[in-house]
Amino acid sequence: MSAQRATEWSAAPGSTETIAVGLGQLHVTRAGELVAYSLGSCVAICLYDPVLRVAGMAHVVLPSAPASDSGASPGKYADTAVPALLGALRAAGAMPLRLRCHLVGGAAVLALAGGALPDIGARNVEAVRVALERARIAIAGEATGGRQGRTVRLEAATGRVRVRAVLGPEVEL
Amino acid sequence: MDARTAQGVISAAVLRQLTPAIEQAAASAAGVLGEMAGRNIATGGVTLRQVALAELPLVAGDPERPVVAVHLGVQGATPGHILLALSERMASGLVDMLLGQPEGTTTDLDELGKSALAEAGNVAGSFFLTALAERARVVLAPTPPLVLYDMCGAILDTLAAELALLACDEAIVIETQFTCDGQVVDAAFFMFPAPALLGAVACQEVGHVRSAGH
Repeated sequence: MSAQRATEWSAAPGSTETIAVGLGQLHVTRAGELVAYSLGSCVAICLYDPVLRVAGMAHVVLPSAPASDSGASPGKYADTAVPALLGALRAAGAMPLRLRCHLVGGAAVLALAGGALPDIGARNVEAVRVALERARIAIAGEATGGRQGRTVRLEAATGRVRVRAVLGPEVEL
Repeated sequence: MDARTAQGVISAAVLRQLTPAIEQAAASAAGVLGEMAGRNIATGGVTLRQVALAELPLVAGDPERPVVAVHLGVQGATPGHILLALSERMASGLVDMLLGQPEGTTTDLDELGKSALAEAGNVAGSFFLTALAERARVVLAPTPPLVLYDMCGAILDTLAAELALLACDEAIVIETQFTCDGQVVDAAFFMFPAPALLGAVACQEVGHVRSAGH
C-alpha cells in the first residue's frame, strides 16, 4: 500500500487491482476493488452505481471540516466527503438516483468507562448520515459502531461489499 | 533554538538530536518492565520519525494484524498517546512472566491476565512519560490503561483521528522494540506525542549542552 493523492480515479475495466483508500482519501473506480483497511473510528462511505458499475469510496476521519481547512483533502471530513465523492462519481457518469450506499466503521475502539475520549466514531457516523440525507442518498446497509475495527472491500464489477473484523469471517452486507 | 519549523513540525535535525533522550526514556520503561517480569528486558533500538497522518495505520506493518495492546492517553500541556503492542503469543508469555507462572500457562487472556498487562503497560508507559516530561520540564499525566484486542491498524486509525482532532496533519512516531534475555521479542512500544512536547525536550537538550559547554 502506498500513499495516494486525496482524490483518485481509475478506469481500467477488467483489472483486478486492489486499491487501498487511506485516511482522508477518496477514490472512484470501474475496476478491481476498493479497500479501507482496519477502520477504527473512521468511516468508509461506499457508493455504487449498478448500471455503470462504478464504485466510489471515501475514508472519513472527522465529522466536519474546520473553517481553516484548505480543502485539499475533501475525503477527510464527513461534510465535505459526501459532496466530493458524489462529484467524482457524477464525473464518471454515475447517477445519484441509482447509487447504492453502505457505511462501515465508526467503532469506539478506545472507549473508556466514563468516556475520557470523545466518541469520534459515533460522531463520524452521525455526520455522514446527515450529509447523505442532505444529498438524498439512502443507506442500503451498514456495519457501524461497536468496539472493534473493520476492513471493508467494495468490488467494482459486482458492487459486493464485504466486511471483516479482527479474526472474524468476511461478511457480505 | 527554534525546535519547530514554521508549520509546527519537528525538523529532521531536531528529531536526530532528540534520540538520546528518547533512548533513555525507553530504557527506563524497559527496565521497570523487566523488574516486574523478573527477566532481563532491554530496548532493542529506538526510532523516531515523522509520518503523514494518513500513513499512521501502517507504521506497525500489516494493519490487519491482530494485536493485544495497552493504551495510555497523555494528558497535560502536550496531549498524546502511548501504546504497548504485543502479538497474542507475546502477550500470553508476558502474563506468565508477570504472574510468575510456567511459560505456556496462559492460553486465553482472562480478566487477571488483562489486569496484569494493564499494570505492566501503565508502569512502563508512566516511566517513559515521566522521563520525557522531566527532560521537557512539563507536567504530563497518563490516563488509566486500556487493554485492547484488535487489528493493529484499527487502533492506529483511531489514534490518527484523535490527532487529527488536535489539528495535526502529521504524527511523530517514537517506536521501541524490546529484547527479553537477549532475544528480540514481538512487542513494540509507541508514543505519539504532540510536536510541542518534543520541541520542549529539544530546547532543554540544547540548553543542557550550552550549560555544559560553559
